[in-house]
Amino acid sequence: MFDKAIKMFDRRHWKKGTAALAAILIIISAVLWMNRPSSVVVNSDIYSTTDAMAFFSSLDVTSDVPQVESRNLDGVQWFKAYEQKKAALWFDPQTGQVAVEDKRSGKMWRSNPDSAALAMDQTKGLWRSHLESPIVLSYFNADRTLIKDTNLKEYPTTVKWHSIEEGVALMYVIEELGFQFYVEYRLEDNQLVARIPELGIIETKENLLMELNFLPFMGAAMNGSDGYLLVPDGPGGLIRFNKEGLDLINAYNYPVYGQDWSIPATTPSTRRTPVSYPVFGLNSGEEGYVAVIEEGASRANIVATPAGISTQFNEAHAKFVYRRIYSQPTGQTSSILSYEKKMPYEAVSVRYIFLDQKDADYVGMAQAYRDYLMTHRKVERLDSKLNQSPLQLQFVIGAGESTPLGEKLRVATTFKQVEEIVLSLVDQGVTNIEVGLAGWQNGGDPGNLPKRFPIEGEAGGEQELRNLIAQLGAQGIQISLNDRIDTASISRNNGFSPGDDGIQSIVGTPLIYRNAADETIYLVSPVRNIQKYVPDLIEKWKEIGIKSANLVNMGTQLNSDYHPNRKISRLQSISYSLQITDTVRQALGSVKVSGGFDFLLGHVDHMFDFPLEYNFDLIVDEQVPFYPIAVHGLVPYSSGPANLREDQAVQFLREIEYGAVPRFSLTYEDPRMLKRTSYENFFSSQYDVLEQQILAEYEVLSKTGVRNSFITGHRKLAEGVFETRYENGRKVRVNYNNDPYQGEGFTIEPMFYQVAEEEER
Amino acid sequence: MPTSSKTLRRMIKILLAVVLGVVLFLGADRPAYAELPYTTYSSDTNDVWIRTPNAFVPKAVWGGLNHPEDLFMTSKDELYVADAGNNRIVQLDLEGRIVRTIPESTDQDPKAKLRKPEGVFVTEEGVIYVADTGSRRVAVFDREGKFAKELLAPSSELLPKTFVYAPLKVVVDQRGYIYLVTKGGYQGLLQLAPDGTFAGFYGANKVPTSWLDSLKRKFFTEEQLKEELSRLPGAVTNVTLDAKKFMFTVNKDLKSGQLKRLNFGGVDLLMNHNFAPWVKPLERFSFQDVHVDSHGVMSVVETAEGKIYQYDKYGQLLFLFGATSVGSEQRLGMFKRMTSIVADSNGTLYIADGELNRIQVMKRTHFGELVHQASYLDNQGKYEEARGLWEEIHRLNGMYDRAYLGIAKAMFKAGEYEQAMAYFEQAKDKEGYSESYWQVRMNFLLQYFGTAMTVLTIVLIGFILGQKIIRSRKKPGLTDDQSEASAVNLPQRNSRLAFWARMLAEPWKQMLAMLRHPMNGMYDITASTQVRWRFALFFVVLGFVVIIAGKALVSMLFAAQRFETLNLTTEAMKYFLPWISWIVANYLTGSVMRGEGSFGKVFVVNSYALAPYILFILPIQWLSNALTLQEGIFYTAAHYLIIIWVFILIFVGTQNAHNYNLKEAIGMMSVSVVTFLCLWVFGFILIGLVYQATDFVTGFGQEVWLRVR
Repeated sequence: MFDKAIKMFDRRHWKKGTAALAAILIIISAVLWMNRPSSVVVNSDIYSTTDAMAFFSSLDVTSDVPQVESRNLDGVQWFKAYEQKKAALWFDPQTGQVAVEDKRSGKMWRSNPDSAALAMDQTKGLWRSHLESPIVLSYFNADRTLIKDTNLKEYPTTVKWHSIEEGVALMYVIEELGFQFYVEYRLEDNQLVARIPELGIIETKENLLMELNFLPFMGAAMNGSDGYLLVPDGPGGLIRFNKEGLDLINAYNYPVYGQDWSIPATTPSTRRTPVSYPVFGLNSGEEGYVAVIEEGASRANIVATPAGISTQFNEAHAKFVYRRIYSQPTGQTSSILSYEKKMPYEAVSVRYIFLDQKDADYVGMAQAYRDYLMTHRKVERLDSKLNQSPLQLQFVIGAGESTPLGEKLRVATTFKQVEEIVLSLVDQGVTNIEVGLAGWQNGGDPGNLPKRFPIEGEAGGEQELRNLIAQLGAQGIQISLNDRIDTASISRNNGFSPGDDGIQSIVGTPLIYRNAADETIYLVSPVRNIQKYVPDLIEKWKEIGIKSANLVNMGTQLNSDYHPNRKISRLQSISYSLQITDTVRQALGSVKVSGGFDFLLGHVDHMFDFPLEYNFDLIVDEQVPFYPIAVHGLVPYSSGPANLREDQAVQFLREIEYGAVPRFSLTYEDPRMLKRTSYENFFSSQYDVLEQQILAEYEVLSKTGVRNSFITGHRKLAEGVFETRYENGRKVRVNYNNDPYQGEGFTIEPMFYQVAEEEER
Repeated sequence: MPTSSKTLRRMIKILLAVVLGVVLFLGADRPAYAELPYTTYSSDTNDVWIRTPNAFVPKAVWGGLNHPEDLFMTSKDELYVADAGNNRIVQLDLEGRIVRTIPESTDQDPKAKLRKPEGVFVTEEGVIYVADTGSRRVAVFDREGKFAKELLAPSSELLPKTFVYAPLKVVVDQRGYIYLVTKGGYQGLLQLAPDGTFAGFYGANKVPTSWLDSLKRKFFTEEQLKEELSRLPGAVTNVTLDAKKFMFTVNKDLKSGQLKRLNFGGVDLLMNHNFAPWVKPLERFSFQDVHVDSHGVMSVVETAEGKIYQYDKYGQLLFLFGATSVGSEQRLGMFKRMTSIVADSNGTLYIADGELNRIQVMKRTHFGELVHQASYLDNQGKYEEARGLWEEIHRLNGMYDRAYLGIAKAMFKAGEYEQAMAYFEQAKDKEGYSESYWQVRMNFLLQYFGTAMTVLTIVLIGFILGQKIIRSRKKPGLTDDQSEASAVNLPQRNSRLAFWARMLAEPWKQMLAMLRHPMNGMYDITASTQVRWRFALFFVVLGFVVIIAGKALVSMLFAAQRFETLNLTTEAMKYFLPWISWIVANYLTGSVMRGEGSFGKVFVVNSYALAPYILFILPIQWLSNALTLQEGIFYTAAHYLIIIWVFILIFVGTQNAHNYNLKEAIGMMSVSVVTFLCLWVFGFILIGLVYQATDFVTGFGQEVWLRVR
């Protein structure tokens, strides 16, 4: 053994040996250099405690008595901070409570109930003091043993104030716990905007702020009137006052935009539609308000409590979550509870839009929300070029099935077959349609995501796709390609590495989920998506000639990323999502999404999987089309595929009632062949079987659909009978009962609809 | 060795997971518009879960109760609730409104007072029997709700001293006999005569004994037996009468027969059917209550997972749905502790939740109605009538295999055997497929047998005649040909090609010789100087390929597992690991017991011994397609034959390789087998330890990594 080694050092072999060695080393280092992970450091932690401290010390707040107009409310002096035409902002520098006066009706919308109402409430203890505090918070104690609830009344709180433009800013200091909050209250267009700026919270002691309930009792009302709370459950849900059966329920408390999966929840998750818009409302029986969480929606929960659960008041409010407890695995089977350490410096604000009597119902609330979207988010009306929204037909091209011998591709529809089907429909008069293709990527779905090209050859490849685009384009039918832009499969040759490109959860592992076929799917970090994948993808799409893309999942989940090199919060994730949607829209012309998250409004041309059904929570008394009313006319929307409706009859009518555009997910082949793919839940999708239903629903759409009108009214005519009124005068009525409904001058058949134009009854 | 490979597979999976290091969450990959907290599943004929459209959707929820423990629905759709926490029975209408309470709030009779009643039953005449658990009695109220009589603990020397009379549930049969479920009642239902006297036990379950128990009973002494925990039969936890007044019992802690349908003799008419074959041994699973409707559909609530199961008359799963209430979410369709289930005449289900103190009402959907109706017609044998329904169901849910089954049965009855066969195959129903295939085969034979036989006979005659003619022609010129043949030399071929051809062909020739004459063949193989281990290896790998191919070729009737669900790694391990460990065991034993075989020889010999399996398995699997289930005996016989042949070859091969005589060979083989088993035990322990070690190392590494970051 040793003589061989000695030989190597022999001069004769040296040259050859070292040359070879050097060559090898050079090649290796070259390869490594070229494949080095292009690590981009995105640092989202711009602010720190010192910045916040500096901010606080720069504020010139005072505890002096304000030198402005004052009035006596319940024996306490309130001061007018600002006034507009219809509303005036008042505050009490002692307790830090605020109120907005409706100058026409004289109604005072107070952040906390007045003493008369409080006298009627029997609540004692902590909740009693909550009732008198504009902020209720929970914090993690210094020993890290307990999370405690407290408010601005439990411990001595100093309130300081100073005037700001259009309102007043109040600083709340809880000396003993070490918390200081700076809240700006402004009036804009007679609406109250309550805001805590980025640096508006500091913790001077060891206690850590966990959750902050912002103005929890604004406008809270006791039972007695037939008012209700509006919660963003599905399309909208009402929690009526005077609720009974309180033993059956807990308060409504759900996160906006659903769970953040980057922080594993400590309780198991269930199947539900996430809250898609950060709105809540209260109707006191006379007046009401609707509130929009303008900033900080991505870290907010909507909380609504009927009277009798914690206090005698019905209330709804926003709760901002600053830190969470999570389970950190420490081994295969063990884990410990840990918590987020850093304070996120993000601004939060809620805008309260006060409504007078005739506009205080959920329809009025929806219209107020619509006005807000158009004014502040610059969402525009749909152009009136198209009279009728096109019927949405989506085709599943191919999907991958895992077999013992590797991934097997199942082609459910080829491009030629898509052409065949669409042209056959056109021949039968179904001309106003839009076509979407899913699973067109190399390997179908999920295939080799994010490596999508070359386009799946077994379905016809790029050539056939171009033909299809041309053929359908000649008929005026737009094709969009469905893409899961945020996912990556575990295929080995897809150029994706979870460490470099994937989202990392807070526990340090890549974020994954299991699709319907039980295959592991990674989530792509939005930062990396924009840098690495999206530009090329868009180029390729443009080259093929596609004019629209459907970014699936963009509106159904929102996650933060805890990767040390590119840590982003959900707020930043939203901006990345919008960046992607805008880029795609600009490049191709049109972009669609699935999911109804409100931040996408104005950025997309169609929303699929729009929430049309509530989640069967016991606390919600009935579902109302709050979101559809607000959004109709701003963007066309569809719910799930009509062929996969869980309850055909009811959901068919629901789509008519809520103004949704029907959508079908079709295949040429029998969906059984997709049984072991991610489309395993496609119980029915074969075109031959569904042809008649498509024709029927196209006809219904042409009769009931109103693309460019706002919804101006919605009411219940009787139990299970509803009427929706549009701007252009059309009235669409539906009957969910098994008996016909006799109205004034019209009849609605059981489980059917009826349309009346302006002049008719 | 299925269990070992399963654990192995799981361990490797865990290992991989550790390596990948992933965080899982429930898939967000489904349409977000769906909103019920549960999805509905059914199972196909192979007990594989398939998703279906919902059969039941929540309609309403009623509160105002306190620990409702039992429900009873009369034939007139009157709902009675045993409101245990409020010490009363409540009668509700189908809208949830209280009609009356028993006892009436104004009733002053102290005997009428109930204490935690957990069971209620109402006879056709309207007499109300209450299992008044807290008061240890059965209270009987008349139609007007007035207290009539009470049935206290019966006295009888047949009752064991330890017997506790605490009635939980009660039913009354047509003769007026009362059957009680009592707490801890492992003796079965307590039977009382109408006057309250003890009338025996009924419907007890049997204690399943294992061979271990029988061994213990044989060999243990009296004292030792006393030490053993007494094995009690699964307790009867609930009882219901169906529309025809048959008694159904719900039984706890049983692997099968969780629901029993008892005749008057106490015999289970469902024949100990296993209603939950998917439940693994240590999983919690207990049925709580059952309701049987007029069509025999059994609706059962199961408490561990908060789910509702519906079975048809024969115990085939129709639907499975429901979700456990989790965290603080309170939603329709979520349950915490289901105590009872009943249905009204429309098929609407009412489920009581004892923990959440409510009754949830679930309405049947159109799809649910279709399936119930079609299944009912099928069970009555009215396949043609059911066919239209099944086709509609198939249109609504293309994955619902039972629809194929229904259609297939109708086709079979109508004589469309070819189509029936295809549909049975889709439904993965072996019996049906076998039956229709038999018919198709018979028709095929009937059609072609005549012609085939004629052709065969002609060919045979022609052949025999031909032989005779050739022989007669040959005789005169025989010597000429012979002399000519011997003078001719074989032409000179390319010698190198011939050499290689001979090299490759030789092991095959040896193998064929071995098959024909095992003893001599094996001797030749072991005697040959070259140890042809490369060929042996190739042969074994070829064997694996052939086996997998065979699994793909085999008829659906005899396939143990569907080809798509095969896991190549597991199969490879099932094949190679036992074989390699056997060779190692054999060689080691041989080297200790004065064997002369080298490792190479042992390797080669054992590979050659697999020859019958490898050569013949493929044709057999292919030929299995021509058999029906009844002829399966041929298939199994062929397999056994081959396996015995392989064992003989292994024995002969070992004997020759180590150069033993017969007695030595037998001794050595037995020791080898023991060695083999020891190797496996050792292997398991090793894997367990390695797993623990990796867990520790990765945990440690993760900690360090996280702290460093």
